[in-house]
Amino acid sequence: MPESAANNMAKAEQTPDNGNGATVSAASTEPGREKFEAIVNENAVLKLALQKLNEAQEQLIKNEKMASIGRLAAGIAHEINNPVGYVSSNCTTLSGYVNRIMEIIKMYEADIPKPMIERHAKKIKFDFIVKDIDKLIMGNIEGLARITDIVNNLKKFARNEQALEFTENNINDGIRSVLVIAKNEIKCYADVTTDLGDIGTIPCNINEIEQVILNMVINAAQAIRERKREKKGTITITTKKEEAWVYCSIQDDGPGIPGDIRRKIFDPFFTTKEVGIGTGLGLSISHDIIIGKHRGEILLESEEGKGTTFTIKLPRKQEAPAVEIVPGS
Amino acid sequence: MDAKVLFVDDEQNVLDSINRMLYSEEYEVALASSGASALRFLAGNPVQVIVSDMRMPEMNGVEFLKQSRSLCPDAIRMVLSGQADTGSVMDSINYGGIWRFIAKPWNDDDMKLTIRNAVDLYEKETQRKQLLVELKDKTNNSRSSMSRWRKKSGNGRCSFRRKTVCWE
Repeated sequence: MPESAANNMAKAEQTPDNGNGATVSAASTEPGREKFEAIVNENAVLKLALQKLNEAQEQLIKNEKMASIGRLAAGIAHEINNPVGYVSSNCTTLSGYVNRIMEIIKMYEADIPKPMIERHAKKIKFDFIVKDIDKLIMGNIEGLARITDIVNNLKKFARNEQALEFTENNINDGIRSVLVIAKNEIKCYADVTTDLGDIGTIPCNINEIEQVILNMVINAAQAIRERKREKKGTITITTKKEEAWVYCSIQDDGPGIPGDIRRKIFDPFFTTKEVGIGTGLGLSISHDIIIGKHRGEILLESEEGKGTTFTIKLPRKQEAPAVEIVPGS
Repeated sequence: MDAKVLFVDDEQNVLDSINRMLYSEEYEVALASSGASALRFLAGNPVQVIVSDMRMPEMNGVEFLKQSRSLCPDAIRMVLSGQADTGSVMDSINYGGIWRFIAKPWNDDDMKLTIRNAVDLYEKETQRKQLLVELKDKTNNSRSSMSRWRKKSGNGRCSFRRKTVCWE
């Protein structure tokens, strides 16, 4: 099925023309009825085939996304386990603190002489406890906020609903989500700087745009990792708008893409990564999403030894909704 | 007991919680927020137990543990990590020479017990090595006094044989 997805776009563009042509000829000529019926039948068959192909493509896009979440899962678990680790340890410590504070309170309630209470307070390091409690609680609040943030973003990213129609979205929000989810993949190899302009909203399927950005950010981090330098690399994400377009560029200072494979990178199943690391579908699906579905463009600048910049160019207005390409229409 | 335990983690909150958890333990606790600063610390302060995170920027846990082996060859090494996939566990065993792998989130009581066991292990190991040296010294001493005695009293082995023959 995957190979057919590559041809999908080409067919998708041709089929609707066939349909329109048939309708016109039917209205004008009576004798060509047989021929017309044959064309109508053929048209129905083609429409069905198109629908199946579109469904297959939808499924492929979804599968690729789930696969990329799967690959990120270990990293996400680490990002969650860190705060869970210290929050739960802090809670155990806190219950010890509370027990000690209760001891002191009970001593006061029992009218025990003050010097004795003070001696006991010193023994249980009461001053340290009182000073530390604030810090402990602040740490826990921060940790829980981090866990919430990761889980929310992951949930947003993995939602499985069929968003057939485009909605108005600000892709800067998508970029922020992606950076939370991919943090663990990036943080050891690169620092991320973002320069997110005031780009307003554009009609798009934000889920799929996030998927494309995630792909490109992970690619950038893996490229930087390949250089095996002492120092961390840099990934720069910039967004800006011009009259008719919104641009989002993802720049890395990795090894660059060699000239001879630059043409192949959007081919399905083309990958330079080791088995088990890349499926070879990331950029091919990004291509489908940006160019096929959103009528945008992907621009590539790459210099060997210097780095690579992918720029996603998306129209600020979708003139006529891309009905023919949407499955089930 | 003046044992020292070093913790390395790039997350300050984790170091804080460990420090709090162990504040009534008998050993001293040292904290470092990166592999590089931990190595600097180890150069001047030998420790008995090292507990390191795996995923840290610049120098990861395996690399740090590997380098710590030349500075503190006898220290008991452990990993405390939220990432327990086969690859990283294997690397930390094969290259980091670790004794235990503790998963995040950890259980406070288990962790305390594990660290106490590690300190014990270190002490027993040092004790064993010391006893071995003493034993060697003693063996050498008795060997040399034996050979001195042999020289004085002629060939000991021969006289023993003659005695055996007599019995038959």
